[in-house]
Amino acid sequence: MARTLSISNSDIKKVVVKAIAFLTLSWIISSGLYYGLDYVYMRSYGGNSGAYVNHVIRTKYDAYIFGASRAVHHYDPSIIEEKLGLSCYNAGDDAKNPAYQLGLLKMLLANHTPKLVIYEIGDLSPKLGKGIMGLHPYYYHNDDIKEIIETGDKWAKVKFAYPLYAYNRKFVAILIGFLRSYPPSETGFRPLAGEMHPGEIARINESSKQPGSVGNFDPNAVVSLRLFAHECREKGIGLIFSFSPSYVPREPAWMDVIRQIAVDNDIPLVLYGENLQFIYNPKLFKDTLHLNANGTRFFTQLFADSLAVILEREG
Amino acid sequence: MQFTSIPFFIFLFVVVVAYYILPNRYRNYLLLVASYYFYFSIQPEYLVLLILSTLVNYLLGRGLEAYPKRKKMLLGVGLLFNLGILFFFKYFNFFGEQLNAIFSSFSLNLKIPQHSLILPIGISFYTFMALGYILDVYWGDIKSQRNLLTFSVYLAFFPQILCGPIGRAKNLFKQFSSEHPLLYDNFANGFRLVLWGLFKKMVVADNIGAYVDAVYNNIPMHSTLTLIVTTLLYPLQLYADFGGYSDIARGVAKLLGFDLMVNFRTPYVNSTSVTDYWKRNHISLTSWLRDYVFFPFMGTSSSKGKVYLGIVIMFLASGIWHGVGWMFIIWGAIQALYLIVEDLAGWDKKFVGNKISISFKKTFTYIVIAIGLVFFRLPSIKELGHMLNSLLSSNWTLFMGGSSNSAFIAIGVVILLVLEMMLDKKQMDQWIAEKHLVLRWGTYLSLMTVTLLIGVLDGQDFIYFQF
Repeated sequence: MARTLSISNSDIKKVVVKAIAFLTLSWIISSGLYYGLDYVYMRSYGGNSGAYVNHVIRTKYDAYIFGASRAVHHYDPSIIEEKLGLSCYNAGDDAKNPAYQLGLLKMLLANHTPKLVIYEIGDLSPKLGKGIMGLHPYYYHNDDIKEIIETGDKWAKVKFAYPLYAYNRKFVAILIGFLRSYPPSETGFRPLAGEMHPGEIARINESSKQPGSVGNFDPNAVVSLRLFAHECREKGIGLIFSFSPSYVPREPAWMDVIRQIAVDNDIPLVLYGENLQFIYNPKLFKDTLHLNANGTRFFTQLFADSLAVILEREG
Repeated sequence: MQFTSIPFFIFLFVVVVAYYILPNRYRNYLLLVASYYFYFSIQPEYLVLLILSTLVNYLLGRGLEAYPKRKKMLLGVGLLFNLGILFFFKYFNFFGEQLNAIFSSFSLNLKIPQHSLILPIGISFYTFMALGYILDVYWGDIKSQRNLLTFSVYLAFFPQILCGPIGRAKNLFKQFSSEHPLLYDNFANGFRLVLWGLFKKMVVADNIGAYVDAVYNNIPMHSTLTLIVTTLLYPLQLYADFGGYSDIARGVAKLLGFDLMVNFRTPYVNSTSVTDYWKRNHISLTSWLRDYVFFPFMGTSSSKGKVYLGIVIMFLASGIWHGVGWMFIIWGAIQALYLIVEDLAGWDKKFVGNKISISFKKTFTYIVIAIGLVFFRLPSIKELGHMLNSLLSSNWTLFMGGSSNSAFIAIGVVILLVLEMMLDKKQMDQWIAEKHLVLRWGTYLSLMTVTLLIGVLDGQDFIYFQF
């Protein structure tokens, strides 16, 4: 029979045994490295260790700013604090998606319930999908995080079968943080120094200053944002959606979705994306999407004024 | 379903198990269904085109043998059909744009419409395989394939449908017609190649890719030094990406008992000249162009002038094959120029002997190739202008792209270069098989651990998907 002729039992046995040996040995190494990295990471509270989250979830402020790069670089908590008399922390971080924000909020709420959350709705595009990696170290530690990760990635269980996946691409940051730890920032705010590069301005001018068209949005991001709004409402936290200025005016493809979430959850919207005091003003920007320190100071003052009006109106 | 994704490995596991369980006579059916499913899962709308191409080329092959008097006409139909499909999907819009520009400069009221169809994935690869088959039958080098099933699997075989290697009918028909028993050695070699390919793609290519993309997507913002570093890194990204794909493709085929053509022999680490580089780099395409373009063009002539012209035609064809636009054509022309200059200068006979001379030649060749690849990477001549402006800025600050990413690039590149230097003309599976058990397993486990630790695990598409 052709079927039996083509299969040698000893070869099958060898393939199976060696495959199991490889998987087992690599799993043992992966687990060993995981425990080592986890030990260091979970005991770090700031600096360049990548354990930024550990610090944020232990803070107790009245107001928090959530969002990605446009949150962390655009909102100066000290100005908001001064204008509104609320202690404020900027919990934004570069390239983090709404699923990450939801996880961060849930971990924060386990320790403290703030009065106000400002969410910079700058980016719901799929390109931020990897932002959830910032919460991967908490997969085995926190069931909420596990659920969020598994909701966004149907293969998460398989990937996390190798524990080292939780620390994929993090070991250099952990190592640097371990060797050179410095105290966490008091406000979380990270302003950007410098102005727009003349080459970038020229390139935008060449493209006839076409308003930025922002592409598709990530459906998972929308689900996470809805859950974020729901969580705030459940906990009685005032939530405000904010859209800070861009160099080129832009109306993101997801703005209708944002508006709908805002209406459904009674969330005030503060929109500065097309504000004439900012657009095409290179002195206020570091690049097309990010304000520089001057721009941020100016914007946060305007934003804090708008916020004061909203908070007064909302009582 | 990418080669680097979990669904692919589940698919592969099912196919491999089913393949060895099934009696031999059903195995090609399984491979065809699996291959069509694989293609369908990536680009369902173009599976019909693949099937159409299969049927037309099968019939043409049969016709070439059955009607010797109409051979020329059938060959013409074959060339027209295959090149026509390629032209329509890849170059129609480009040539239309050029013609429209000419029309408008002569104030002619003519406009060639543009289509908005996306490029069928793998079309350049399977069309060249089909063309190679038609030409082989026409020249009488092989007999036409009578079995439609065998011919269909030949064109659609899932390990090579997306990015090659561009296989030859002579080699593959034989393999599709013979029985492949389950052999431990095939599994071991297949596993080694897949692991090495994954490392190249996820650790080297995608980490460098993040840096190179950040720079090339915003050239005016970057310094002279950053652009020099990027220029030197890009060849490694390209090689690790495509070489990684080819290793995985060969490894996957090996698990099923098939030997696909070797596509790379450490071209960026061990080439001592551009001529040598083209014997080591993208071998399946280069040898295809040599056999089906250069040799037919040369005929029986051996004059230097004709050889040089043949080289120019061959590399212009390579540039055009790679992509649309003047930059690819310029890149192809530069390669031809390099080869001709090397021949005229007698480069192969220079700096021979000691290790320092050879190292110099290797370094020089790498730099020369890297400069040529700037044309391959940049989308337009305008961007090249931006790049020259930035290069002349004499700004020597270096964009780091994040301390983690820089460290990952350094780790990946060092491992790649060290191993490739040791490989020379051998393939990873052959090289590692000769080593002691401890070194062998140490290498497997290290590659796996480094990939898990610093690899881009949910990474980008392979670069050659766009071709």
